[in-house]
Amino acid sequence: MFDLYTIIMWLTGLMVVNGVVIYVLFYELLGRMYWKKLVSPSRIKEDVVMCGLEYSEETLSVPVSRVFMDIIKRSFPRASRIIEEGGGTSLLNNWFAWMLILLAVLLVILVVAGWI
Amino acid sequence: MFEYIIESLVYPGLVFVIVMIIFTQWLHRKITGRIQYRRGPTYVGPFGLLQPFADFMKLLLKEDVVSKYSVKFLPLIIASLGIGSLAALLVMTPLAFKPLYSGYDVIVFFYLALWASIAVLLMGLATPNPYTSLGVGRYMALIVGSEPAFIASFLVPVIIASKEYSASYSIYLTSLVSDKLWTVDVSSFIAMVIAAIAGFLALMAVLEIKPFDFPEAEGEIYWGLFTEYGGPRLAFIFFILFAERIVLPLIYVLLFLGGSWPVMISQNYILGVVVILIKYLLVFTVLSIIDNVMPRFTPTQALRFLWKYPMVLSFFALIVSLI
Repeated sequence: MFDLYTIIMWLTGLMVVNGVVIYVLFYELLGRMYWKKLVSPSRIKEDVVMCGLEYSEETLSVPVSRVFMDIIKRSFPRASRIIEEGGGTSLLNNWFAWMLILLAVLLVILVVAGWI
Repeated sequence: MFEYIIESLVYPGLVFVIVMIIFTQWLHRKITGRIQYRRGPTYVGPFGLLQPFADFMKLLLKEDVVSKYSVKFLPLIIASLGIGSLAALLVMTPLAFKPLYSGYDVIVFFYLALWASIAVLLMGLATPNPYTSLGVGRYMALIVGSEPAFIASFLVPVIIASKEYSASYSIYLTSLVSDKLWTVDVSSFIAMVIAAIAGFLALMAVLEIKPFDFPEAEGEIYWGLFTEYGGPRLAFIFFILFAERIVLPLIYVLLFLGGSWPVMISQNYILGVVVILIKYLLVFTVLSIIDNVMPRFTPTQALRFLWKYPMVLSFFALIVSLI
């Protein structure tokens, strides 16, 4: 049985060794043996083509975060409405609420530690 | 020292994972074929067993085409490390003849398991196609919904084993006593039942088994995350996804289904490994059948489902196990 730090180093090292073997064997070696000899350069191959039309990077950009936030908002409409309308913000800005939470946490810690 | 490297490269590491991928993908295709009144693969190798390998080689031997707006080199490194993390993870289990383990190594398990999901996410982010961006956004939502439930539910047996059998929060030590965890006391039994249900649902989501395959959603957003990919890069993505379907259900078997029970793997190693693999194949068959018969959730439906059921159940089980 190792200690946690040694095992993290070991497993991360093994992960890297596996990764290097996979990359060299399945990409570099097979590429040199076979597909790199077949390469035929073409402009169309490098462009993004959809429905027969070529697209540039500007027209392609769809912000991933917006897609993600849209899914979250539609999944939990009530919670997102509360946050957007300021219900959540007013609670977060309320120092009295924060101090109340801090006091409760301190009390729990004192009880757990056996000081009360 | 070298024995760990050999274990991670050969058995139960990389070569084992490749062999298992070939066999389980053949099984998955056969099950799919039977459900759809087809025969499934029959041509390459005995009973069509080598068809998945032939398809994998076909992709690996194709020309590597990358659009000029994509990140060229980084996805290959990330994908290789993603596969490497899954292969290295198996060295922590009783499948290894000489396993690597320590107290609290469950943290390392979650760190390595998450690498595969992060690799898939980054592979999607590396290409500019709008359908890819839609897929990545959906995949992020899937991770947010599934990973907390996955981690919370898989922690339950580890916590119970550490409390009752001094397993020191180790995956390996928990696997050795996982058959006893169901019968410790009433609260542990309740926690294990709830965690096993929540863990299975979260596992389905992490593995993108239907109804949770909305980040790919072929036919709806082309192929989502992987729209731009083909050739060797697509082979690498398949490699990660299929290796995940080997490693994570195996961990589920080791933690929830009693590991090598009724055989003690510490006394009879070969029979123990055979029992674990039979249990794994049963879990994989159930997952394959579900994957074939279920329709697909929309992202909204899936996220609501994941937050309502697996998440709540897994955190409830976690609290019960801690009491």
